[in-house]
Amino acid sequence: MRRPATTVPVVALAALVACLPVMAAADESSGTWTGNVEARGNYYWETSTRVLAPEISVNVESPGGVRLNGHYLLDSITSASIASGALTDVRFNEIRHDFGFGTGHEFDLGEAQLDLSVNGRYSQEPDYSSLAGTVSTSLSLADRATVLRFNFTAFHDEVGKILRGNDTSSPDGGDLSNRGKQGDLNGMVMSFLWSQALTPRLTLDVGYDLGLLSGYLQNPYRAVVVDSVLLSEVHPDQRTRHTVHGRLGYFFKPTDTAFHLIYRAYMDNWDIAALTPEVRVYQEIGSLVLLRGRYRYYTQTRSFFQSNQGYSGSDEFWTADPKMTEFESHLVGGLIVVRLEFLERSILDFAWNATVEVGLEYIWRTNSFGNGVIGQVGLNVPF
Amino acid sequence: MRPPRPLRLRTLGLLLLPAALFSALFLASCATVSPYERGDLSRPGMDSSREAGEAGFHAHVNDSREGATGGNTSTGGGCGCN
Repeated sequence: MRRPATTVPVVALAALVACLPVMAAADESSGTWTGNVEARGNYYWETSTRVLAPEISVNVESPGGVRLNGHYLLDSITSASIASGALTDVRFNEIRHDFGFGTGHEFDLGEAQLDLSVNGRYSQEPDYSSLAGTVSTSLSLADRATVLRFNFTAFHDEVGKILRGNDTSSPDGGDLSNRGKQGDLNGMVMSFLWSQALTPRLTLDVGYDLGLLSGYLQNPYRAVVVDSVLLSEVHPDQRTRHTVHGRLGYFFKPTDTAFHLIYRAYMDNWDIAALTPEVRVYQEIGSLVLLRGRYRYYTQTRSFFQSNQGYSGSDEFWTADPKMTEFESHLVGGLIVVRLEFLERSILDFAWNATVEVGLEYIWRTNSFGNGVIGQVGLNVPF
Repeated sequence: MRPPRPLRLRTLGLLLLPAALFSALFLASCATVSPYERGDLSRPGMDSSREAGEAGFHAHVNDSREGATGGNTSTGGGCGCN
């Protein structure tokens, strides 16, 4: 049985926390270091899966304008889903460590500002590892009324397989749970975003993402009956994904209310097409409280190789993935954000500029994943 | 390598329609908003960058439960939840 690699992330988190007093000291001495620490607790629930994912992130900017950031996320997944490796109706827990670091700097070009940044990310779990690097650039024009952003991400994932359940031992007692590496997945994503202040109360973002994936694109745990034989699912090994998205924001001054209309259209060469309209309403309550209501609708077509009629040996691909089916979902959620200014001149004065947020969302789905709940709690402390 | 499937015109239309609408909005706006006019644009409800923290987890959940992706910080890989 492989043990989760916990040492490196724990050391990275400890180093991150250990650096905070140094950063704070720099802030006290020069008055020019700025940044924030954000701690979040994320929760996801559905019938067969529960996820607890605490995370911490730190962002600082030096007097010279160099930005540094780091994050660590612990993803604790409790599942009885066969697609997650359970052979029988057995509940198991799996841990994923996700951490990353980055740096960036903005160059003043006079009439424009050019921002460059690089970020690296590594994710490790017993049966999956991922390494990704991102280069980002943004160009601000017209006194920042127009911002053009371009991101390029490349990643390499290694997919393994570990069986859970009571029958993973050989007759002589050997451990057969780790079935080794199943394949590699390589990919790149290019993103372009145009942000524009249209009027003093109206903004618009328009973006396009292109994703190219190559390699192992199925789930090693899902199986399909093909000609009465249970076989692992087989997906195409290349996928090209296109996404166009936009966001229109409007501030209604008489009531301090902001309205956001968000739209996303997606298509890929697996014949999945999806539309995602969303509306968000933000209401300020005084200077300390912000409320947000959100409704998101999602609908997609099925992939060209998904079939509800079963599969035969003459089929090239077969799948048991609910994401490949035609389905729709509705999400309704609320969020409250509270600024802690009332802590000023108290024993918690250091957090007077912090914010606390609590969010809860419910998702109705028409596919076999079923309904879900997302809960989030966040604390953001600027310094 | 298996050859990719050609794009369908129907799904291509789903992409082009919103792109055309948003482009028309851009073209309709030629005026520059001066910095001193942007006070309302910096109000908490208008600053979507404040939501970056929660957006990461939302993208993670959506990528593992939906066939589509994009429009956020997700890259389509990174965990064994596909």
